[in-house]
Amino acid sequence: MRLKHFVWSFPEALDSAMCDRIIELGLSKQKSKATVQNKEENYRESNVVWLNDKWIVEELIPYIYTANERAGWNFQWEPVESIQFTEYNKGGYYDWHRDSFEEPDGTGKIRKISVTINLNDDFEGGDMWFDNALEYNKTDPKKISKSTGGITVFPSHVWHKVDKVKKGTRYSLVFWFKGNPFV
Amino acid sequence: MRVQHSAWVFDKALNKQTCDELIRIGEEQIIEDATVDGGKQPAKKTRICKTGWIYDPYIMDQIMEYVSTANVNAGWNFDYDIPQAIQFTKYEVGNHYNWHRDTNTDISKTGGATRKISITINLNDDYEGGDLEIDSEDHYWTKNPRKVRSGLGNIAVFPSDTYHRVTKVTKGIRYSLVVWVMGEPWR
Repeated sequence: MRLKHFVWSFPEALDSAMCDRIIELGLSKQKSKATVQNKEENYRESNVVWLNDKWIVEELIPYIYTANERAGWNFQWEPVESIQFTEYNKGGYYDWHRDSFEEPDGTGKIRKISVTINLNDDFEGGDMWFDNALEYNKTDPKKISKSTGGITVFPSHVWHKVDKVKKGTRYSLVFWFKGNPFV
Repeated sequence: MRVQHSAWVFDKALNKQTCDELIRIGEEQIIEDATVDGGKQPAKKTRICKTGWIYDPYIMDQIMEYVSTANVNAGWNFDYDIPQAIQFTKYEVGNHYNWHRDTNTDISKTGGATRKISITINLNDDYEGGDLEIDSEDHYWTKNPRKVRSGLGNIAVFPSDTYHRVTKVTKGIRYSLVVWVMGEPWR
């Protein structure tokens, strides 16, 4: 899909106290190694925890509405989703991928809008990149700011990756909002 | 956008007599070298072929029937509005059309609409090269172009944001019709 804006960011949207609180919450839960659907190779190294804390989603929802409108996507989407707390330790990364799949899920929905929130910035490496591949055979990756509290919203089918963390630990929240397949 | 089927093809949808007649009409309509980006420039690098326009409501109705079927069978179920006129295209030896997408870059110029479904119809098959290829971009680093099944009277339907190209014609002349169906941006 051709999009004028393929990422919409709100720098420092959440204050650092709230980010710390979320990190604490995430760390208090049992974590598991991240898995991906594509089994052909290992291209993700990180730990994840699923959070059920609705206040975080409620905090986030207005940003999604704003991004969806200002970026000109105007996608139909549904504000129901669980939250993934992810931890990339030194050496952790997530190679180029898209969050959406070719077939809708069992309820006929697809992932339409993805969100990443940076919970800290005291780490090295671990940069997040996006690429909407506007020209065939030409990659044009763009790096986004990793400052604490930044919220980044993007259509789930946009290519993105997280570089290897070189020092420290990168904490983030990841959300996928579903909706009807594109019409 | 990710879709399960990046193209839907109907083999021999139009018969030889109809195709020959369309080539005859099309040849009379050839007026220009192909342009890109809303006719701003003949893009010698990306697209080299000749085009004309055909206004035939009967053929258009037939084409739109196939579009409707493809839209359901391929599982796209896109909302769409009306088609633009039928473009007759003629690729002679050496002519081609590089990788591109048909979707509109600036929808403010088209009343907020974009091309949503693209259709290519082969009117002949006595040429070499000139393959229609698409790439659904399943991989970030590795491109994976696939040839779309062609043949006299074949109708290929695909979402307009799919990357596609026509490879260089190496022998003979390739005649085809191209149609774009407009609609609201995907949402």
